[in-house]
Amino acid sequence: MKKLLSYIVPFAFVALAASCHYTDTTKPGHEYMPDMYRSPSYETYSSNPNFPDSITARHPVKGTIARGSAVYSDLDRLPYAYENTPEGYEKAGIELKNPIPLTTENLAEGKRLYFNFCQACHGETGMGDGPVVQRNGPVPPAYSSEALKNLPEGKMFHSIQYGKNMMGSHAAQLTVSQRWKIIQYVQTLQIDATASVAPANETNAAPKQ
Amino acid sequence: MSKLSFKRYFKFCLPAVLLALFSFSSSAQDGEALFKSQCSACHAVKEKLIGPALMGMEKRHKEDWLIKWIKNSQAMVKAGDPVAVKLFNDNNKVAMTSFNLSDDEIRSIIAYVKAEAEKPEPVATTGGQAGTAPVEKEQPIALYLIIALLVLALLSAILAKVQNTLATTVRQKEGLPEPAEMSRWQSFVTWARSNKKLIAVLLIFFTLYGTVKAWYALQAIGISQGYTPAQPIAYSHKLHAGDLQIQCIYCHSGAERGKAATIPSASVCMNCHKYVRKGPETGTEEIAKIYKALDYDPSTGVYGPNQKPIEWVRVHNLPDLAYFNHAQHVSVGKIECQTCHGQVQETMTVASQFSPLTMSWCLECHKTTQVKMAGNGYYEQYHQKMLDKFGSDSLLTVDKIGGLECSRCHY
Repeated sequence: MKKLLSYIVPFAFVALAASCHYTDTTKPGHEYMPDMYRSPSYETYSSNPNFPDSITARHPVKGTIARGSAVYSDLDRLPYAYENTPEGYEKAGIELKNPIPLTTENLAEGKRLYFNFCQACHGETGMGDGPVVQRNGPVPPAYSSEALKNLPEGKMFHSIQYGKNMMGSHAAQLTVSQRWKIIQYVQTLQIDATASVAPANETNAAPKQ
Repeated sequence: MSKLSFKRYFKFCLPAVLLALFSFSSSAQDGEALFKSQCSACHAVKEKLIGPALMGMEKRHKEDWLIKWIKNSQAMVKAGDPVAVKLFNDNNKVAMTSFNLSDDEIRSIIAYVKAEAEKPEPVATTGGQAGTAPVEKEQPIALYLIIALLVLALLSAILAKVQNTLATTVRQKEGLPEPAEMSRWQSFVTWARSNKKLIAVLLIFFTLYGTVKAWYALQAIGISQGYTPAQPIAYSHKLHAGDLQIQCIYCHSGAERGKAATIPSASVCMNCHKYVRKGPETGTEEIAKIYKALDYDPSTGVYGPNQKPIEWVRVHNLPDLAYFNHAQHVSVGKIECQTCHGQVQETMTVASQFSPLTMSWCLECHKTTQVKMAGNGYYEQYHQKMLDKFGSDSLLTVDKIGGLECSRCHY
């Protein structure tokens, strides 16, 4: 019996050691020869001793125009001409017009972008009842409300560019052409909402696509 | 007044009182709907947002003045009304929108704000305390072990000395000869020879233990799967992407356009947190960290000059020797974020690495995933050529378009 035990005990210990195998998830794994793992050049978000604020990602020089046709169209390269003032807002409302043709592809893309960037607050149908609003977020007015139902598209663009009231600027998240596609989709939401108010037109109010 | 006339008076009065009560409550209800649709984009009852807190406005201004102001504030500022000019200047000269509301509608909003302001503050729940509770500190187990070992070593040294002295005394008493002097090594060999079984067991134990540990250590080299570092702000993906249904792309908007998915700048946080300043649990302290990074004062809405980047800890790090591009996979390949990052919106209160990110993991997916070429602008011309070559869409996996080539990722 004692003999048997003397064989079992070490194996039991090994089994215990194996089952106790534990990795600290707050630390990354070990690396073998990390000189090819870690970039010697500064990466986008690595801290940088060459700048006093230690940020590697710098602002482009003022007036820089984006290049690369795969991502940016000519439209996206044009700088925005209106200032972030009440006068600029009014001026954009009068002068600025959507340069993008209304096609089913553009509208579908606008719907996709609207879902990704707007519906969290403005709601799926633009009634200002998105999931963020329902959990005590800021309440935007409905697109069909008195204040917004006749909003010129230039003012819509201006609001996405600079933000309006509680809404922040979305210029960094959306290119110019993406913003115009969203505006096209928002305008169809406005039409749908006003159509559904009149009961006779209820059949026309079915959501697009 | 006689009993009868009082009764009559009462009869006459009651409906009027009821009507007044009813009309007041309905006016406050209208006010709530109007406040939420017209005012709440810029105003809150008890705190300053874009415009000032509305609490107590009926005491600060006369009703006629308020109605005039709400209908067209800019006209009053231009006309030089001293109160209007001061209000305009005190609020960063943001022009308030003119509202096409009737006098009664404005009165119902004022009634609603007054009723809201008089409601008592909800009692702070215990949840608020959770954030301030100190995190249990990790005990330095290794230190205690070392101390225990040292104590044991000291004890055994003392005992050995005692035993030695006792043995010498016994030998002297009984007149036995002193044993021959042995070197340390010789005495160890003598001990080992008489304890062969123990030595064998110990050897087997350490060999097996070492093998198991080495096996795990070697398997984990270069793999950070499950890496969940503590972040400077306790941001929860589960709350934001899950409960609030904010899409991944809203914050990581680079994923569709370039190599990096991009970490949102603090200005993206402020798109909501300019308004949302409190959380039920730890939110209030965590949101204050965003304000600190931006040197932002929520009471005035002004950004200061001492802004500092938030130093998020990188979770996913593909080795520098491999190239990966998010846009290639998200925009062209139409791969869901969750395929590689897991159900972030449901499971991750702290961001964690879901996939192993090893080469075999990449290649496995490249061998089995069908390229979505149909209707994909990126493959417009290529699609037909590939169909001619391979026959059907289901056979067009990523490896057919060079997804296993070394130089596709290593260059």
